[in-house]
Amino acid sequence: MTGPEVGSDAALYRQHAGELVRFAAMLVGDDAEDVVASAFARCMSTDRWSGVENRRAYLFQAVTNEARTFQRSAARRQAREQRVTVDGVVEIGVPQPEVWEAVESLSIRQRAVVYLTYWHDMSDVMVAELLGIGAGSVRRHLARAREKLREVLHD
Amino acid sequence: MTDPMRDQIRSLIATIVEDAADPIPFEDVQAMTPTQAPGPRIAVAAAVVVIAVIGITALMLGGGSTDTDTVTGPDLSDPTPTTVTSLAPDSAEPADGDEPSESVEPDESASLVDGAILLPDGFHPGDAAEADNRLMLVRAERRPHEPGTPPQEDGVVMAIDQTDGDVVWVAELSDGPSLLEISDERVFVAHYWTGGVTALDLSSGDVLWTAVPQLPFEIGDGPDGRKFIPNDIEAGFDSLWMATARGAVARIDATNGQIIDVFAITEQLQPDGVPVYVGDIAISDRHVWAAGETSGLFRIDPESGEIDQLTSDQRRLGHNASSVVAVGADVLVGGGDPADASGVVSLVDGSGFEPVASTAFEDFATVVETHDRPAVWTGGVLRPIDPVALDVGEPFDAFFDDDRWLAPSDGSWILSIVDRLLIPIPHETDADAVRIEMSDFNVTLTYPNGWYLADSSLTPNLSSPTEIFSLASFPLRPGGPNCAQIPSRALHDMDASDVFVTLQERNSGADPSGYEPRPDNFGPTPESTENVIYDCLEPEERGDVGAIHWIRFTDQDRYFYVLVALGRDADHQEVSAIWDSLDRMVILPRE
Repeated sequence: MTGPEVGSDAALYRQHAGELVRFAAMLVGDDAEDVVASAFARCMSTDRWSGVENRRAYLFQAVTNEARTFQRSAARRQAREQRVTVDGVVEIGVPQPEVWEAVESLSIRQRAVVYLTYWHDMSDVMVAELLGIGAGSVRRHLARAREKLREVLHD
Repeated sequence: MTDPMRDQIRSLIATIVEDAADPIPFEDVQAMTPTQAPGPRIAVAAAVVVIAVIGITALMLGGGSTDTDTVTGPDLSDPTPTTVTSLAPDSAEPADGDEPSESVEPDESASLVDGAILLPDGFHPGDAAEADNRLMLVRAERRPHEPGTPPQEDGVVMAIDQTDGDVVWVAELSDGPSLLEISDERVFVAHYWTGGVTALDLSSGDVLWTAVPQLPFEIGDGPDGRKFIPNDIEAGFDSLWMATARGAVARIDATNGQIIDVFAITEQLQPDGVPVYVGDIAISDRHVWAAGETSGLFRIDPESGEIDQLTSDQRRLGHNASSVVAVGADVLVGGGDPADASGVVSLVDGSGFEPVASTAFEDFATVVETHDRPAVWTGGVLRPIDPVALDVGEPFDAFFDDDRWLAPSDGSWILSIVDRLLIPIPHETDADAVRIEMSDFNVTLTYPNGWYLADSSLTPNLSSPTEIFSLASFPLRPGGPNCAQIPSRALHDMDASDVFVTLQERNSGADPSGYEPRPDNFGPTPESTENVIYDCLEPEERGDVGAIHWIRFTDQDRYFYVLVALGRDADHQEVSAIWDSLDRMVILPRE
């Protein structure tokens, strides 16, 4: 198994880091550059990396996964600090800038689908290919996200 | 078509991305390892996560971890876009016998998107069941209550027509309706707060009766006045069977809700003195099964009332048996150890009451029923599982999302509790496979439809080893002039595009050192080609054989030879199929 090709990785990072950070900003806000860096570091450390054909799509998926991991870790930290109520409902949340009121209503995957659809004008098939999910899943995520955003944006 | 929200959403995104920081320099990234990845510098910019635990604790335990990489799988939906349709209830009506609840919105509506059902806003279902093309969903909602008094939960059971998504009826119930079971044209609803049961008419939603079983001993006086918490309800043997969270299984008369019997599994305590927790029930051909969490698996004989226990520390049963699914007379048991994030699914023989096979997972495993096969819920994804081989298939879908709790219903749908999303589970696509159980040999074989399985031994002069089966892509003839162990006539009949396999078992006297453990995946190895076999075939008998692989392996303390012959021009699909047939082969111990 050959190791990571450092030279090409550097070029790849310089080529895509900007768009990945903007993408990650939609997912995790101010921690975007950390999430992208972490995702890229993980990619380079895996044996599979050298065999990945569509590295851009792989990076987008890696950033999405990293964002989900990041969110889960943060949610767990807060969950431990909160009491589980009798009916088992745990609410985790911190005050966020006003713009996050809308984004907070979306899951990570929904944020990703919304960003790629509305900011990059990608079709559901293109989004599906980039995120490694089915086109039907993209449409469902988008429908759910639009429903949530409609509620928040119209309040 | 103009999207009226487009500008608003783009404006929102612009606000976010314009503030995005510059990327970290590559040199810093290069210096990082995964364990050195930077932690968050600020508190999470996460969504408010609401984890709703709605009475089905067993499912929650099994589905509790969604730590998984991106899951890619087959897209279930029709590739053509569909129109989102608003589905206002056209005949929603309150059920008789219950006061209408303020929490029920008369204009609740569902939507269909690519075959999935998006439930009305705020409708977080606790359980689902289906019959006669109708999908039943239950939701409970807590009411404000006086301090010091038991909380009150009202709820609804909603019936949705699966063919068009219409809401057929809505029944409003009190006392925390939380679990559903459908049997004999009735919908049985278990109540979280009282342990009571309500029977509804399947066609109309009318309340037929409501009963609160009075258990003969203190098994579940929980906090806030709960009598006991039903964890599962199943119908079988002309009764309802309800699992409680504190160690009992109640048998209830399905005609009036009265208790017939209580099986006091609670007498068996966990090491810390807490009664056994009953998480799930299954009804097999002859028994009622209860998953007793850390205390293992319980089998109840409905005729005699006898209870047997299989403890978790016994071979091949997971540390924590939390789910159980009947497969004929047998059961699949799901569990694992949440502490170290390991999971296991075991196949337990219903007669011998013994685990006969198991398979491990990297995350806690929950087994569930779907409409045409069992499935395992592990690592945040739901996959079909072969009830004999315990092989898992591709995930049903790739929609699984973040920390949203997901719970599959016992039917055609995957149920996302928090996301209010129901995804259809496709019917089994492996319709072209043939499964043959060779009970004389305790071997089950699955192979492509259209192939030929020899109906008699191709090696009639062979006494030891014994031929178990011969399978090929061409018609098979027995015998041959040389070498009793080699089906030389069949090999002679091969065309260049054909494939062939035969399995033989050494009956006795095998030298274990000559047999490798059964491989995870059969395939050619440098050692598997044995030229001596060609000595059994005259040149004119070799037909179009391109390669022969001769593999010795041991499984279940049994010793086998397998011969795989590949035609010179056999295509990749045929070659893969022959190896796959061996991979899917199930070998059980000799009786």
